[in-house]
Amino acid sequence: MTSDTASHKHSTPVYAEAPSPVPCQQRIMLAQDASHAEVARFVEAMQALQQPVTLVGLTGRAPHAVQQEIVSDRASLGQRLTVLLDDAPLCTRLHVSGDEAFLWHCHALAQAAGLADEQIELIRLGQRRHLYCVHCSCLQEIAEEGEATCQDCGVRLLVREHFSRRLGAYMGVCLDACDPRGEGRP
Amino acid sequence: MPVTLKPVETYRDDFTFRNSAEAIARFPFPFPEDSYMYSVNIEPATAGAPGSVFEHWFDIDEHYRSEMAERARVLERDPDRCLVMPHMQQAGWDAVEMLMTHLATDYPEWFELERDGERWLWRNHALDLCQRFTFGDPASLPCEPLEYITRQVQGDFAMLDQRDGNLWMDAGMITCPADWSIKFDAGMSFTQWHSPVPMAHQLGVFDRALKYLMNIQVDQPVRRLNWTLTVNPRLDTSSETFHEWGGERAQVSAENVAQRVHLRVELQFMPRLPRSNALLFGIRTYLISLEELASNPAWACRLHRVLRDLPEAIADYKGMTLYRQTVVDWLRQFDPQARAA
Ligand code: HEM
Repeated sequence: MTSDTASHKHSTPVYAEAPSPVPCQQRIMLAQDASHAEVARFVEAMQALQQPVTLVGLTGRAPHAVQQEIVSDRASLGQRLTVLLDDAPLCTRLHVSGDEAFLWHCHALAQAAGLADEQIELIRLGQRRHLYCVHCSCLQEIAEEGEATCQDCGVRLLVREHFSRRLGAYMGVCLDACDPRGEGRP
Repeated sequence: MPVTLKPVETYRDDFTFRNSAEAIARFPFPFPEDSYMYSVNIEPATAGAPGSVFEHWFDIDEHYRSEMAERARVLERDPDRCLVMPHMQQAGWDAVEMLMTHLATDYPEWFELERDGERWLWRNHALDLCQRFTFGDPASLPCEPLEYITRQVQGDFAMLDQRDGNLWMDAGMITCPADWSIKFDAGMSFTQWHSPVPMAHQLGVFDRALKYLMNIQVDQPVRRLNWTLTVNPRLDTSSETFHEWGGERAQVSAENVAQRVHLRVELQFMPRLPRSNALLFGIRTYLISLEELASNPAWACRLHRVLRDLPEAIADYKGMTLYRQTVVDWLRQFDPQARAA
């Protein structure tokens, strides 16, 4: 069932354009690339709210006077986040910036560490996204294209607007069931 | 009257599935009117007439053995069609208790349950199974409790965790869905997994349905019917296997339409699970070929009008656009008004 029109994209997430100016005791920013200009813009906006900010980056450094640290890989990012959230005041907000797959990976880590969905703000950078092949369960990276071929099973996929936060991915479903791998037609 | 179980028929390859005259007579024809639109068609699941599909909470019919064999086949290839997140363990045991006690009470000729505290003995004479286990101890069953029991009950089952003002699809045994995927939808909220449905969101159907479901109390289940069309009596019309069956939609012709096209009706049954407070969502699927359905001309006449006038967005969503006209043309002979026009 593939009726995806723009009017009801409830499973497609909406991402933050600026930090929401709600009162909070602490903000943590997880950045896939801390040197990205958008990260600097968000950090500045948070500092303007006069709220303490801690920046944890996977790569890069922010050019900013902000308390920041770099972790070596995704696993240590998860561990660091858990420690930070353990010590964090109740009213903490988490900001995550990076590509869509990174955002939902961190979102799941944060929820597992006890943060509520409302406390997490996601800042999407770049066009990279993940596609889940519903036929063989493989995940692959795509950009904005609406069609792709599954790397694993070779089925030509339609990229649906249906999005799973758990998988951090869009559903890819066979584009032409009369000719799944596209070998039958010239 | 005890239900008679047929020998195993198939829902794939040679498609030997057929309905007996009795099965046709009790088919849950889903249309109260000559036209169809999405609505909050939920009603209290009060016991229906003896012999009807509404008589018991969990309907066992002549296709029992075939359906259980089909489920085993799907799971053999794709074990993840049964999925239980860690926080849904207790709900799984709730489901075991609810299904076993109802089956043993409603179909004593096929199912027996002896309980001695936490020590239970389950007998399934239809599948020739006997299992001693300790209720609440997963190590005492050969597999996940939800999987164990739903391998023995017709229909798909989702289990919804209720929190943060929503329902979350955090567990399920889904081997015969009408074009969706438990592996993709797992972890989604009621609003999220329904997002592909056209029109209903704008009509407020889902907001109202969700409120209704969240208020379901223990022992006050509700039900609703949903429907679509399926080419061939194929139970596993999942997204996972769409590349294998979707092409059959292009094979419907004036010659084969009556045998190939099936009305697919889901009797959805929603009870509250008492310990976990999760919601069980049973999706009991009934298939009937147009030819079988037309043995009741009033049904064929009504289906003609419904399909002829169905909004395009809904027909598209249900995946019948390629062959809808062929079906309508065939059904027309049963509609006196249309014939006269
Ligand atoms: C909590 C229990 C429920 C579950 C688990 C459930 C699940 C689903 C799923 C997975 C789909 C397919 C969506 C897709 O295309 O991917 C669907 C479709 C739909 N659901 Fe539900 N649903 C539930 C309750 C309800 C209720 C109470 C209503 C009441 C109005 C409803 C109305 C619909 C409708 C209208 C469709 C479109 C079906 C079609 O046109 O064939 N659902 N549901």
